[in-house]
Amino acid sequence: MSIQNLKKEATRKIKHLIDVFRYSDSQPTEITLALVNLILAPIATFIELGPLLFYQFALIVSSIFQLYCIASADLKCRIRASFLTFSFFITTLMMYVFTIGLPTPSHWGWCVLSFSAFSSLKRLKTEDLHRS
Amino acid sequence: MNNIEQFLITITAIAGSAGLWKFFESRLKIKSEQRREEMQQNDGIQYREDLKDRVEKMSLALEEANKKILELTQKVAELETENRYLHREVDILKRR
Repeated sequence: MSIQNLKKEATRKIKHLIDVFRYSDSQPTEITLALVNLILAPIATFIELGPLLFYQFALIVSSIFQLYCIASADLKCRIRASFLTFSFFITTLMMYVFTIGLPTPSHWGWCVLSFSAFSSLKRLKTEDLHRS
Repeated sequence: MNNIEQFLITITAIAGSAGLWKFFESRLKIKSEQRREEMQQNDGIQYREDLKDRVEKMSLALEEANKKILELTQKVAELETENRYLHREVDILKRR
């Protein structure tokens, strides 16, 4: 295989990856993110930052709302819920930054989760725009 | 961290992410509208090309039809003249 063919193949595969990232169905990601907000985030913040009752309660409510929207298969509702999920990931990130910071590499996972929530929200909005 | 602090951080983070999202949402909308307009323009261009092709075909057909009409008119004139002469000859023969 020549270098040009390799380059073409690599370009095609990268384009496919970008298309999948932009347009693929994001329901499994949404469920995972909702479960993170429902289980992992309240426990992790409770252990590391202490009891933040207002924020932890809001986290749980938003994740239940997200799961409800996915189960209802309502796109507008999913967009609203994804926006809330994204906002709460940013909030979690801010909570860490303003209290203990991001001391270990695993704490940077909150940035990854925020990015994932944002891309999921963007995919849903793109789907909504394509449908309308 | 007390209750007021966590409330303030939550509200600020939500407001900040809302602002960020509004910005990206408007960008997505603008891009989507541009794409739609481009597609519509492409449809218009295709329609115009189709119309041009049709006009060219129709003008060619018109030219051919004009030529045929001219040929037919000539033939009719020739036949009329021939017919006139034949009538004359028939008249002459009848008199004899």
